[in-house]
Amino acid sequence: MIKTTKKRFDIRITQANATVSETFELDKNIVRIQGLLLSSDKDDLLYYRGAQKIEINKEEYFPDNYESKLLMTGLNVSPKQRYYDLGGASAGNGRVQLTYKDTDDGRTVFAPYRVSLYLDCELEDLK
Amino acid sequence: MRESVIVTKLSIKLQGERKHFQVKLPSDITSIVGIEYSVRLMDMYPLLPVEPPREVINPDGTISLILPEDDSAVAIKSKFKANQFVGELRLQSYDHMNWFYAADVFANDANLNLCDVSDLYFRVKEYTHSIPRYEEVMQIPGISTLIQGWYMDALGKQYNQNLRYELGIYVWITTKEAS
Repeated sequence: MIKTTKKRFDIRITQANATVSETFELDKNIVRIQGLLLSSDKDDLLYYRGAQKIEINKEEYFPDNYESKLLMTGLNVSPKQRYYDLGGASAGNGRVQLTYKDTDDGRTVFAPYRVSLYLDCELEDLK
Repeated sequence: MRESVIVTKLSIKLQGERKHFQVKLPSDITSIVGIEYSVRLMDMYPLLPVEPPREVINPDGTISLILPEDDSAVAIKSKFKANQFVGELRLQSYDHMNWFYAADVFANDANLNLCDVSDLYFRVKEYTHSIPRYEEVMQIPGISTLIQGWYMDALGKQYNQNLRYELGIYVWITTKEAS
């Protein structure tokens, strides 16, 4: 039986114009990723300054410089529709790599912030 | 078929700047399936000219003046604003005659808060209330590995100053699945 679960992975951006890369490991029983979502504790900084590359199972889903605002969702969207639909990406080796790049933007002043990657996962029930 | 996206960034520095550019595509391309764009402003956002009071005609024919800082529900309803026009973008594939994509590029949705009475207490911003963004879906079959593009700035022209910004163009394509 297939069940769904949401996973959250965080990175901290402490310097302006920095690139931070981190690889996260999914649980072994996760077989597919249905969708993803980016969020932050300072939404304006993520929206205006952020761009990232996302790889799942060594396969590039979003290339370098793909802006974070294109993967964000506002509060007026119903919770079930907030995730960007990946159409059931295979989790494979379970490794998700997020390479995030902060770039100056004329509308914001830098302050350290958190970037959260949410994944909508399908997992195999081992029972 | 495998879907992927090619990112192209244009750096605009001068008012009214026109740019011809190319987007290189992989050799195993089968079709272009979507286009989207984004704008990142590098300079301080230009100060908008002082907004004059607006006239609203009431049902009884009398005219009320609404000041820009008026936060009443009636005032918010009348605050329809034009989106910030940034420039014109056109793309052409060698597989087809004429442009296959032509768009006016806008920076944001300036009317996210329109008729939203909660805006009185919780300011509506594009990063708090925007809907998910997806590419503009299209189907442009072809095997050529180059797209010709043309872009013309309108933002700098409007404010009569050189404003630096970066335009991101995202071309979604399908390629043959590696066997």
